[in-house]
Amino acid sequence: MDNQLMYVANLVITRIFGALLSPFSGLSPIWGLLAVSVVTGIVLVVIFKYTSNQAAIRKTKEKISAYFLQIRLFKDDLGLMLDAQKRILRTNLTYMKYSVVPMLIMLVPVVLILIQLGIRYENRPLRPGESAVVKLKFGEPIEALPVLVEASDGIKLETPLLRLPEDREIDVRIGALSEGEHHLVVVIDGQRITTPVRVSNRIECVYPEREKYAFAGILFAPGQKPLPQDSPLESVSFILPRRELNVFGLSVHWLVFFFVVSVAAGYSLKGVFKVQV
Amino acid sequence: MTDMDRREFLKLIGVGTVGAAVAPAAVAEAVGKSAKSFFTGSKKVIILGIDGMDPVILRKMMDEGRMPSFLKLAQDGSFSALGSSVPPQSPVAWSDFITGMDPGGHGICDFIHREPENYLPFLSTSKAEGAKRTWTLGDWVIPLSGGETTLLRKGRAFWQILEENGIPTNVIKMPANFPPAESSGRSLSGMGTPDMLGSYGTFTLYTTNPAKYEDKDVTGGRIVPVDVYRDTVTAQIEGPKNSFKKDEPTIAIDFTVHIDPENPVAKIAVQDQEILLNVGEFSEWIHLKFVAVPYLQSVSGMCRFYLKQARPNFEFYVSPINIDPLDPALPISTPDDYAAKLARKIGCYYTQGFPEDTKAFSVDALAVGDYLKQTAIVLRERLAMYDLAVEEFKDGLLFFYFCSLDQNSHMLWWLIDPKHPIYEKEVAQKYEHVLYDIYAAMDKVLEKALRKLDENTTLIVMSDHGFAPFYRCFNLNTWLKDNGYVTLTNDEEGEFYSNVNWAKTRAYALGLNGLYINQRGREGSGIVHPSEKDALLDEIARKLEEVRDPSTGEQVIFRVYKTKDAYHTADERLTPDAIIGYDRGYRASWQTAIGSFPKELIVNNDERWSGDHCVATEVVPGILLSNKKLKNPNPRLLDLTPSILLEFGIQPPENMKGQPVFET
Repeated sequence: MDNQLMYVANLVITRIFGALLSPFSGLSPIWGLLAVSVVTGIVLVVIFKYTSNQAAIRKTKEKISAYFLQIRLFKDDLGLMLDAQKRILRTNLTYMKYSVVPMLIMLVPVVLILIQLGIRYENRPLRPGESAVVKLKFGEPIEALPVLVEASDGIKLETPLLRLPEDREIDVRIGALSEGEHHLVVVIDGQRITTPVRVSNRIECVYPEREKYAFAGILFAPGQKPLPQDSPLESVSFILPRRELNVFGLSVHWLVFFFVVSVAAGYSLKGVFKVQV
Repeated sequence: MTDMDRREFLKLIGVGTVGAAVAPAAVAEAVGKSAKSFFTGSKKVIILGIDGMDPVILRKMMDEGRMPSFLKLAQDGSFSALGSSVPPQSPVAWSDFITGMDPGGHGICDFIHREPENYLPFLSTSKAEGAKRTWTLGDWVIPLSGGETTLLRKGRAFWQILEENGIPTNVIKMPANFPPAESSGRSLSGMGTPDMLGSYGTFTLYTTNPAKYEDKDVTGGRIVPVDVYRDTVTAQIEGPKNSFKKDEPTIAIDFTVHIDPENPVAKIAVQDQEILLNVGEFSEWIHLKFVAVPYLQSVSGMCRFYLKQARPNFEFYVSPINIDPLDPALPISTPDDYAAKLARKIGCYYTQGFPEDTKAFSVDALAVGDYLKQTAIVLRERLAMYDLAVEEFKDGLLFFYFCSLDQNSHMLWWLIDPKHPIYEKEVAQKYEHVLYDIYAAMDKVLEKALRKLDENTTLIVMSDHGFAPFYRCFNLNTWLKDNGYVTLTNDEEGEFYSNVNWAKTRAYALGLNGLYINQRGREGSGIVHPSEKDALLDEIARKLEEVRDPSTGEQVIFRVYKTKDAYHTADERLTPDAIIGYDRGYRASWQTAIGSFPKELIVNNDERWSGDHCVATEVVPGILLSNKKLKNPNPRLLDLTPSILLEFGIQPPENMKGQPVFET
């Protein structure tokens, strides 16, 4: 896929997710995640239903049950028990074979969903009064590079530029003053590169890193415009606060919460959708 | 005292502070059950404990119109000086207040006590013990039992009595309450809470110019020489000792500082964090993980960084490593998770008992401006904590403690007193307002409390003692030696009585106010027969009260209190035999506190620790204001405790010796 096309596709998907999650953006992150996880569980169960050989899976599971029964009935016959265990193992492999194709198909929406959740729940935007370190990485030596950094209204530069010549890096600390989408402008020898800085108390997309066109960058930072190819600036990264997810008093990573809830939702609703898993 | 002396001393007393446990109530008296029926749930008592607020300064500022809330409370309610404890030291005074007993009852007589057997000092308020049983496997030591830390204060805290009567309590930052006394209410430990090294706060200064500090008496801190190579400094932050390893090595964390070639800014990289700091700027709290056993055991701490200077000399300050309230390594609150809940609401905060870094300021590791920034952070955090406490307070008791006035009256007195030996007019003109500004901040605090008042609320504003200048240091042990009560084995200053000939010594001084008779049968090498003790004490007291400062002709010691007369009861093995009450302007030297014998008897106090209160009780009364009228014209700290219980209709236990102060 052409990079530009991929960028546009990502942008569209990000906007759709944004619209779907907008009712939850002012709430605790747990509610949006819960909704997405439950819906994901249902969608995956349905996908599994229509992309798997349900009859074969049912038959395989019945065989496994039969072999377990054999173990219970003939527990005093070592030969039969070992035979049943061998058959369970073999049938399990068959069962896994039937699951591979639907799993691979499901992987595509799961990755898309994870990426969308990642840009919302891994980090959070700065809040008014907070600060963040911004790291500018360059593709050429910085000793003689004329670099300036400017901040739009709503954010401020809290330190002068700190140059790390050996790492070809320039750092600066910004402070958030008011909510909104503000801009950090890096001026390199007259070239102005503007990077948005979101300051918000809500759940919104944040991009801790902005790079030039690269597959990983486009994939994992959907909706973010890459840096210009002709700039010596290779990347702009922000050290942003982690988003806290508190579940019954426990701090839980959003990824763990997502997998547990989506698997639980899928398993508990498979009967409703008459799916053999 | 040499640098090493003080460091060793701190190490010695510091070891005793880490860990926690609570002594069970020892002298609980039966409390009238009628109180439960009296307390309807609507009665409220708010107590603002402002350590070190001085009645003279307060009255002056009230008269100048700078304390409108205090003035209003004084006019509508009552205002009086408040008699302090004997001696008027903070841990003693607050223990008086907490228990309603004098030091003979609660057992805290000074910052430090001594073991009578070997005369060695230890911290008076808490004691830590490591695991009693361990298993050594190569370099590793596996504990087979838990360690224990004990609060040494005896007697029940008054809020424990309130809780027994079903009254909700909030006791925030109460001094002499580490580990926090068992409580069903909310409490957060205050003065006496150690840092992660087990001391009262050990700072570190990394510098390329260590020579600047060579002639300074660096107590409670470390000066670490570093080099700048290619604009980069690498060093280590030293954390707690690793009790899982043989010989208990220190757990250290590497960090790197990158300095900009031109701009006054640096980046600090530590563990997975990167912090950018301007010169003259404190960082937010930096959370550190000290790994004792990889993947199995680690402890959390936190510190603040301060980039004092980048060029030409690099100077980088790291605050004492505080117990992290989000993941406390030691118990600092009740319930256990209260400290973390509070931190999640208002942000992290200093947990060490003495948050102002007076030690770094004393040796100029923090200059005046640097220290004032640090103390402003402490006050800001405390005010945020207070705002939340007042906002959430609905019922029962709220006690809230402020330390800023006490610590800054100690450290900034030289800026308001032209008679002080280190007074500098230019510096004073720039900063003399700071101490008064803190008084004014307390007025804002009171204003918020006044807004909370209704007809069922009693408001008490109190301080444990006032303040006096500390111009001259009196070497009490030297005086004892010069007057034939101590015999030394050589002419050196010594430390911890290392050169004392106990077989020819009749009395010795320890701590800031304690005087002990070397009593036969009690002290390890005691020679004074108990029957001779009283006469000897009278003789020493008479002579001490006659001492005059040769350079001014002023009386040095206002009064000597014999503890058997001053206290209702006394544990003879624990309490000093007499308390030395210095006159205004004088105090025991630091060397006296640790059993040293300097050559000179009285010397100028050339340190920034320029104000003090460890003098005669009569010289430094505290303050008492309330929205209720006082019936007692001369209230004392001890009187407040039963008065609080009576506000809730609870009959004070008999071991509380004070008299109610409020009109009914």
